[in-house]
Parts: sequence; C-alpha cells; structure tokens
Amino acid sequence: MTDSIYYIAKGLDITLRLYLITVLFSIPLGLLLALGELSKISLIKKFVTFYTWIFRGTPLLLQLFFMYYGLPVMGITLSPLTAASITFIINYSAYLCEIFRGSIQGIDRGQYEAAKVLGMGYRQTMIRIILPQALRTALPPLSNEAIALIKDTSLVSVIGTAEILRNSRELVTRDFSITPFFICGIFYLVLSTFILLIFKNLEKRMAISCQ
Amino acid sequence: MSINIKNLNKSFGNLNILKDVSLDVNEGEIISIIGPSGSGKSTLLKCLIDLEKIDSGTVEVFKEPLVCNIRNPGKKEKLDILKKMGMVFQSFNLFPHKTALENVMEPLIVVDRVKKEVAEKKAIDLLTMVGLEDRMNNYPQALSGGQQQRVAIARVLARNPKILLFDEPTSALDPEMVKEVLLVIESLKNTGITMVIVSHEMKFVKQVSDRVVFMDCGTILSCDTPDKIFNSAKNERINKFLNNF
Repeated sequence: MTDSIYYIAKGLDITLRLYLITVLFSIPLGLLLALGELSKISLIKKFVTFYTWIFRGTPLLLQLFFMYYGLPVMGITLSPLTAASITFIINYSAYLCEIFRGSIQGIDRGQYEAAKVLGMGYRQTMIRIILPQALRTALPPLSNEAIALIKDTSLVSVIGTAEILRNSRELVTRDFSITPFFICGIFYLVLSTFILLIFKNLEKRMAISCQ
Repeated sequence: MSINIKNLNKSFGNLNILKDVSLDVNEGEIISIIGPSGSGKSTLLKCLIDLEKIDSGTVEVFKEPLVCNIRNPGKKEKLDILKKMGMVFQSFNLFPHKTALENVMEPLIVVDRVKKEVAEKKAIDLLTMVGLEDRMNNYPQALSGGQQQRVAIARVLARNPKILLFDEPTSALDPEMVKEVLLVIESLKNTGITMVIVSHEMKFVKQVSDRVVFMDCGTILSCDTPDKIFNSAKNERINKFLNNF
C-alpha cells in the first residue's frame, strides 16, 4: 500500500509541472488575447476570434495528439512534456481569453470615461482601473478553469507520460487491484481542494478591498 | 476665449442630436445649459471633451483645436488639451477598488507623476475642502451619493483644470444631498475656472451662472443672462419649459 502511494506520488512531478507551466503562461497569454479581441484593429480581432474558435471547438485530446503524433510527421518532434505544455497553454489561453473578455466588457463605460477625462491613456486606464476590477469578476469562472486544468493533466497519460493517472493504471494492471484508482482519486481531490482554497482566499481578499 | 464651438453636428444613426451648434465660452465664465431631456445637452458636453466623436464642426480649447472635421490633432496634442479640462459625471464614476483618498490621488500619481507624499497631502486638502476629511479612507460603496459626488469633484480638481464640465451632477442624488454638492460647485465660483454646467436645478442655475443656454431638439434656442432667460424670455418654448419649475 505505501509502495503504491509512493509510486503514484512520483507522477505528481509531471502533473504539477504541467499544471504550473500552463497556469504561468496561459494567464498572460489569455489576457493579451482578450485585449486583442477588444482592440479596434480588425485583423487582430479576427485572428483572436479564429484562435478561440479553433481551440475551444476541437477536443483537447485531439490537439494533444496532433502536437505529439502529428507534428513528427512534419518533421518536428517534441518531448511528451513539451508537447503537452504547448497544447495546454494554447488551449487554456483560448478559454481564459473569453473569460477575461467578458469581465473586461462588464466594466461600466463610465470608468473609461472617468479615466479619460482625468488624462489617463489606454495603458494606464487598463492597468490601473479596468483590469483590477475585471480580474475580481473573473475569479469565479477562473476557479472553474483551474480545477478543470488539474483534471485535464491526466490526458497526457495517453502520450506515455508518467503522471499520477498513468502510474495508478500501471499498478492496477500489475497488481490486479483497484486500490490504486482510489488513491489516484484522492490525490486529485486533495489537489483540487487546495486550488479551491487558494481561490476562496483570493476572492475574500479582493472583496474586502471594495468595502 | 476658453472654448470655441463652431457648427457642431452629431447624430446617432438617423437621429440628429446636435444641429449646427455654435457657442463661445469666455475664460472664467460659468455657463449653464438647460432644456428638456433629449435636447442634446449631455451630448454637447461629451463632444467638448472628446468622449463622443462628432460628425462635423470644430471645438477649440484655448484656441487649440481639440476636435475638428478637417484636421484632427495628434494624440499627444489632444492629451495636452484634455489635461486642462475635467468633467464631473451624473453617476460619479469613482473607481470602486480605491478609497476616496486613492481616487483623488490617482490622477496626480499616474498622470502628473507627483510623488506619493505630495499627492496625498494635496488629496487630503481637497477632500477637506469638500467636507470629507473624516471619510477619506472609505471605499465609494460605503459613501452616500452626495459624498461620492464630492469625492469626484475633489478628484477632478486635483489636476488644477482650467475648464470644468458638469454633466447633471445632482440628477442621481436624493433631494437631501443635492444641496451639499451644489454648495461645493458654488464655492468654485471666482476661482477663475471656466465651468459649463448641465443641470435641472433651476434655482442653482439662476444663482450661479453668468450666462444660461437653453437647448431644444439639438439646437441652442437662446443664450443670455440668467435674468433674461428666466424673467423675460420672449421664446414661447422656453417659457413653457420654465413654467414647469
């Protein structure tokens, strides 16, 4: 039993690495895409619309296969973790883009007008006035994505990466026991609970600053 | 001359909001714009400070073109002109994620790049001037409408504007709070700031303005001293409107 736990826990390395890389890059990328979608330049707008249409409209697993099995056909070979990281960043930034766009659009027009008549430019208005408010309203949908992501990391087991789900499945076939699946489930529950707590904390902190 | 409006036209779709509006505002002058809802008062004000795009005409501020259908000034020039102007809105538009004090400090720190301590001192002075020294650390949510509008006035004053536009500053307020805001605006008289005020508070308009503009259906029907507009207007439309008050 302790052996199983230890073996599965070894997979945490990949799971967490993929998770953190995705979070680290997809948030700024999603934000940039959202600003692009809201920009006045129609070419940028069209590009972002196309981007989100493609990556939200096709399965993440297909994108992962394409990146890992498809690209080598074209002569580009990536390690499983690199392929998975790129796929996840691209895919998640498409979803985050829509979340950020919605929350930015939800900010009252009066806030832009006030910033403008006070002499603030576009960048100052966005960084100091609009985004701090938009991020607050984006938190609940963001926490959804954050939990979905931890579970989606299990998809990389299909490209032969030793993360927690793959390791558990190996134990199930080897020992002919279903206990490893329960252990695996508990791992995910612990991780998602931890993520939820972080978001609860963030929401609380940001809510206080508006009373 | 502080504001020069020439042949301003503005329409939303098929609706002509402003029809060939021309008006000159002298330096230090207080002009009030009155008239029925939908007559284009607020739109005119927004066109003056580039919050609404105009269809044709010119607005010059201190002889520099701010909006113009022939030659639009560059971004930098525009920003320089806008820096001399300020606007107070009907819905206050305070930044909800910042305290009253931070709201007033914001333009000083971000736009004028003043040191934090200097900005704070100035903000405290201004908030004291509008009678809010004990509410400085409250967020807008925790303030009444009248208090929020006074913070907004302090915020707009922080950057020493030469021209102030008021867009129905008391229309969203309880009758009880109207007075405290009007008193603050009145206290700005004789400071040399040019003010253009859109308001439905007739008593206040009569008292504070140098000239009163009456607008109806996108045109200026009359522009005269308060006495002439309120007591001896010859225009039937104006008298009909004023009889409601």
